[in-house]
Amino acid sequence: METVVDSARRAGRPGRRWRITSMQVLCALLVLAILAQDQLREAVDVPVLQTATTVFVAICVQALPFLVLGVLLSGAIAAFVPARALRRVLPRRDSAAVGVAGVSGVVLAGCECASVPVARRLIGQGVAPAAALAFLLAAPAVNPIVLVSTAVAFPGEPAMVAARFAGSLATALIMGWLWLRWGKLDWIAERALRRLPDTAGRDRWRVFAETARADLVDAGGFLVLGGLVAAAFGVVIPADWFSSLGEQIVLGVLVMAVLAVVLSLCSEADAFVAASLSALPLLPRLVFLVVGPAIDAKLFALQAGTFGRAFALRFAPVTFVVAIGCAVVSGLVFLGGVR
Amino acid sequence: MRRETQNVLLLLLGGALLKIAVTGDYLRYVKPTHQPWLVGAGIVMLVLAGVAIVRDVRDGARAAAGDTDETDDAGDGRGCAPDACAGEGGHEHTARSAWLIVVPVLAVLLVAPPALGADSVLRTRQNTEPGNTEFAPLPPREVVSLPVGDFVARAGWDERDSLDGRTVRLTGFVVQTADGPQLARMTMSCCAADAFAVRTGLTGGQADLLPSDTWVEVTGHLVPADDTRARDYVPDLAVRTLREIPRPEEPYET
Repeated sequence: METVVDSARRAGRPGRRWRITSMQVLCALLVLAILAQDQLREAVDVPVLQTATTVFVAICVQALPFLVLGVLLSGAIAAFVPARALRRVLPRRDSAAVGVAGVSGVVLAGCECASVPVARRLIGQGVAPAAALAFLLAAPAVNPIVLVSTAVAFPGEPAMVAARFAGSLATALIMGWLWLRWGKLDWIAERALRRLPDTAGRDRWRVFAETARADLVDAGGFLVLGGLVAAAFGVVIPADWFSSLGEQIVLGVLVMAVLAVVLSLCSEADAFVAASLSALPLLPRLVFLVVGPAIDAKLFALQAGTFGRAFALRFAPVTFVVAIGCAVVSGLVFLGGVR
Repeated sequence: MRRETQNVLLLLLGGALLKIAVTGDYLRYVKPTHQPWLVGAGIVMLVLAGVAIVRDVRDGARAAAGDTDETDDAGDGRGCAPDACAGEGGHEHTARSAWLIVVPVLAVLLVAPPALGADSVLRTRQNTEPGNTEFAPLPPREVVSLPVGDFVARAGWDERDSLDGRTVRLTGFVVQTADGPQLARMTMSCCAADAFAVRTGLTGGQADLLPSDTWVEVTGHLVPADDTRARDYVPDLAVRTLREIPRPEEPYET
């Protein structure tokens, strides 16, 4: 893909007589793909590749509706919620705003893909980045749908729901406060910070549609990238890893945290996967549930695309460590040990 | 990437989602309750792209008529009102990643990968413990139709042995393994990425002659065994009848 784009850009340099536009590249690509459809199918006709392709398509098909929901919300915030209204709702002190934003994640019932564009738009509308980031981390993990599905997946363990809620909320708040203390605005790409001017009347609908469309194109590509990575890991990692960990608790916690990142499961479904890993004690499974919605491969790709690589490279590893810490503490408190 | 290209990509992606939602192919990837979401997302994409295209064409026509001083020199930002585009400064950044949207479009429209099958089953060896091990009694019919997942759960974890002496009917696909033929089904809670396999061995019935991924309907009874744990909780079904069936519309159990 790189080379196609590169050559298109090189060829598109002003001054050349024949400018190849991206539209022509796309058309050529589509025609080629259609002509080579049989070869394409044959190439994928290896069991491993077929499984990976199915998983990849499944991740995209599952996540795209949530991304659409997210960009519609983002467009609505840009068009209909003036910056001053947001400022009035949130406490003036940033540390308190982090708390309010984290808890308000309860209302956005979606998976993690929805919250990235929304958080970006909140920052664009003048909300303190720390508060927006707390919302980003809290929304996919503490909303009612996720909590209910966790309760359904662990019928005999109501403490699991409480532990997940507390661990995820703590992760979001701590990350928000860490950002207040150490975060630098320079890390966030300038395009994510740019504020839209307040608009009125018919222009609002225009801003709404244009913001949603641009956000969708922006984030869609990165969602695909995350899906590709997750599908590749899904077939590379032997599934028996899960069950062979047994009683090695520290190793179990670390492996489950890494698996949560690479598998990139939807936060509404990960509880069922965790529940099926009955060979493991509850604590590593809780770590899986707290880390996954906070940071995973597709979320990292989305963050890098939306807020810039400099941001994602700093934010994601810290989130990973904080989430493991919060999950372990929350597990010890609510589950009363490793179990 | 030009705005026009972005819009065409959105049209393709939205169209692909709508297509699988309407034809039922989406059941290979996600569970049935996702259908309205897919339709909604597809329509939103088509509308967003359609609105942008119509507006661009209109603005272009107006510019050509000389009503405004907007020119084509803007390249990427053509037909884009300055205020509407203020949030999208980074065209350079959006350009490359957006190309990736082509990948799922091609995968869905041209490759159309099938539902997970034998390859996924062979990636693990054991059946996993069900969340709920309280089983309701089976209905008093001569032949009881059961999901493979339910059969496996009862065979491995039911303390009241509700399967003893009962004839069951199972639907699934054949997997040829080193331990002989198995009947398997994938269980999904949200999408195929979180699916896992449930399987039972088949004894008799000539299932070993069928290639993997053949869908069959079998009847038979559980072979009683004391060492289910040592066998990775994979029970055996003594086959009474076996017949090939077409791939069902819903390939996954939930």
